[in-house]
Amino acid sequence: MQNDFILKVNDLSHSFNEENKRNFDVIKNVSFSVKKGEFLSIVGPSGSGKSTLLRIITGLIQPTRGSIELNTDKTAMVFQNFAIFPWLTVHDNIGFGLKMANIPKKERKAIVSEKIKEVGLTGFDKKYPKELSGGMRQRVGLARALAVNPELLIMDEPFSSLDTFTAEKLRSDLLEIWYKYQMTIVMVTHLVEEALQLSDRVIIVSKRPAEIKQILDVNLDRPRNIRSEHFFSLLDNITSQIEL
Amino acid sequence: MAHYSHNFKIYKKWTHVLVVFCIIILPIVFILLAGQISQISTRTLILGLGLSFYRLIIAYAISLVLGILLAVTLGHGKLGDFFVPVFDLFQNLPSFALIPVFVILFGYTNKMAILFIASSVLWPILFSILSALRTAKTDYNEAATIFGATGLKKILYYLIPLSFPAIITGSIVGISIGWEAVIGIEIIGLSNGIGSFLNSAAQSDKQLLTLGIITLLLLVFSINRLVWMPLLKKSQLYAE
Repeated sequence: MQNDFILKVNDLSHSFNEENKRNFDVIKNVSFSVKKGEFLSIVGPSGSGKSTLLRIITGLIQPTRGSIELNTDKTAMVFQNFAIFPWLTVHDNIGFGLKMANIPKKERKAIVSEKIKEVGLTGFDKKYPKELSGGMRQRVGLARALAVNPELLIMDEPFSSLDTFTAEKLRSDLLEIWYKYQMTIVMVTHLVEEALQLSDRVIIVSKRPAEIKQILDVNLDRPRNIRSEHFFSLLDNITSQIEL
Repeated sequence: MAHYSHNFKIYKKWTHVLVVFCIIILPIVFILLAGQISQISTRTLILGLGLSFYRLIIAYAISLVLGILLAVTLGHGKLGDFFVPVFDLFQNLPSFALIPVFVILFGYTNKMAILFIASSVLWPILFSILSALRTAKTDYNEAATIFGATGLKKILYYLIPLSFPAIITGSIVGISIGWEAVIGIEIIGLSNGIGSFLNSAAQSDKQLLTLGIITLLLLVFSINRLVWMPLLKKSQLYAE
């Protein structure tokens, strides 16, 4: 059924025009679709055009060729370096999308308080980003995205700027949020283990230009045992496909 | 670490009133006292300084609005690649060379003086904002766009707050250039204001000249301490 899909990427190619240089391709003939409620990860080497792909999906960049079909207008994004605004408090950062959507102040406040609780930032609503640790800043970034009640959540290397302990805690919190909201998540990462731990399917892309090498169903039970033999065999399988 | 409330209050209510009061009162008290002691007439000095300050404030307000508008509408993205060199060309025109043009257009009037001053104050403000906008992290811009800040909302809730520290530093430089411009034009083209006062005092009464310069310094110093320093401190909050 057509409506099962929240996102379709059709034969997408993209090249950048650098001044005085020949065009260089960053994405080549990429096609895939994402089911509603699915957690999909895209893994590949650094600089392979994965982030560009996300920016095309969100409409920030117009692709050179191919098209994007979005079955929702409620998308939100979480950034690698958080991209929360330093001039706004935690509360106002989380409420930014709601304010832009002209949600009345009272309603906004209620939603923001709820998200603050949900991501574990209680007591920090009046703090500014520079007073927060990296993990907490990403919690703000996540709460800002959740506040607009997205059907499709786009995440660009969301845990890559964090230390391993903080990242692990945030990953398990994200899974809880995902179960609760039943939203669709498309995440780009260069950490294979992270992709396997979280997602239903993993798309493996090649070095630039990004081409799909394999789309892998992760048929592991949840909650996942990241020490199981099956997990490691999948991990080896994917890792061996990623070119350095 | 200092605690800030999340709107633009830079002083608590009472101190704020006191600050505004001080800017006006301090120089006047000083002049009156000095006038009493040295038995010279200080009326023209007070009026002259007031008039110059008024010209500077109006010119600054014009420059601030114009600078912000030009920067946020034409100064970033692809438009900026075209307009920044154009702004740079205008910036490089020596502003005193424009005095005859302003005189032809407006005569020897207050309007002429204000517009001439604005033509000097505008550039540091504009260029300070431009560089802030052009060096901002692209993911801020992307986040603003994704979370719905487009058109006027983008200007109000993203570009202006993003430029705030640059607006402050640009204003500090702009105001100091503005003082030069206001005194310059008052010496060259007008017969009132502190510039003209100092010019004529230099030829008649050296005591009056000293008093005039000290008063002017006091005013400049109070504005710097009481307005710009707190704002500058506030803008440090914006740095990540």
